[in-house]
Amino acid sequence: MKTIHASAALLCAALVGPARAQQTLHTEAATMPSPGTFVLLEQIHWTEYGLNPDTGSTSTTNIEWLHILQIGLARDFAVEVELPVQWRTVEEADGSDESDNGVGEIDLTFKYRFFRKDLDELGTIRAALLGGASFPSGDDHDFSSNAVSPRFGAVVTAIKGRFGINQDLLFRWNTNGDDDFNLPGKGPSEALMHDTSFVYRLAPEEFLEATTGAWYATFEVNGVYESNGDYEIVGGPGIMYEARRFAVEALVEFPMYDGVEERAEIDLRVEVGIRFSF
Amino acid sequence: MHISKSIALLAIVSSTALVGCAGSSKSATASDSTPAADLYTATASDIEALKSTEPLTADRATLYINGMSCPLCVTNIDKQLLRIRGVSHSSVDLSTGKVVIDMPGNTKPSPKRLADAAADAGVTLVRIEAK
Repeated sequence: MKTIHASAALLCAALVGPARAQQTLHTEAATMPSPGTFVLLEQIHWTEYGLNPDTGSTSTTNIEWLHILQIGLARDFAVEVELPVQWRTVEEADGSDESDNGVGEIDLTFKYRFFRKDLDELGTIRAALLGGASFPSGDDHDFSSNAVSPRFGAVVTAIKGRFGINQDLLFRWNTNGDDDFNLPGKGPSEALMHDTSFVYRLAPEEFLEATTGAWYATFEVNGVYESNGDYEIVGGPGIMYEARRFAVEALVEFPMYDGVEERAEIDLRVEVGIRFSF
Repeated sequence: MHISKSIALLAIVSSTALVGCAGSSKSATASDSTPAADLYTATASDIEALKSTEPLTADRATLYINGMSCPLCVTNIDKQLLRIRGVSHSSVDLSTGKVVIDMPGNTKPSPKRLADAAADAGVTLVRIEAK
């Protein structure tokens, strides 16, 4: 398992070299590929969880390698398919640990942009509806539930000059969540997720005719409220480079509010990603 | 828990600062995102002209685009414009929101077709200047 961890870490380091425009790692954006355009995203999410009061385990390391494909179907309509491969190590109260890997639930999301107002050369305000479901991957290592869990929500994106903000709100109806290892928003309870991301263009200060890429500083705040009363908010800074055909990004998040009693709380989350448009 | 509270406080302060900056972005945008001379406000007749289905007659045209907020948008616009029959080349200037297209052959697109292509790319065409 250590070899797998080392490989994943190496891959993380490699991916840091080349991110995703105005859409940050966790928060949705009301932007989408144009019709007939594909966007491939490869992301690694490394999450360290603390004590799980439900199972008694003292810590959990979860690494997710997400393969995401976005397809522009029509002018304001796109679909996204997400396949997560996971590695997990759980440290029990008696000092022993247990590692496993598998394939998580497959997410299918449709995005319909119902509002777009372009303010000037760079400025825009957009809003989109999101709808979809998580499907069982068939994995029998507790990485996937055996149920279809629908979700729906909305997202608003505003960009003005060098500043951008994305705000989403998503409800997930967990029809048969996994009680054995309860990931945020993916347990037996229903979940309401809210995500906010701030984006600031660091460079160039002004776009020039020859500009082919831009650096952005990001800050994300991600919250999950579950119907069992658990509520957790994490957030932190990130960096993103966006070129004309690819983007790379990284994000580090820390606990901001911890009101979790039915599952392990997040101690630290590190995410990196690369995106290609073709 | 103290660490969590400190980080939360730092995050809130950072967020507030960013929101504060965003609130004052109008003046920042006007002065440093685009040279003032290049700013163009579309008139009602510009918008009306974009509804025309009559093919353009010039071999080259400059398109004034709004909402082109990132380098990735450039690729989207390029792709959609080059799919139009008759458009052989496009050159996007992100600094001014202008796109120059070449249409050397006999087949040329109409303003409406160009406006549709821009909308497909997720941006708004506000004026066409044929040369």
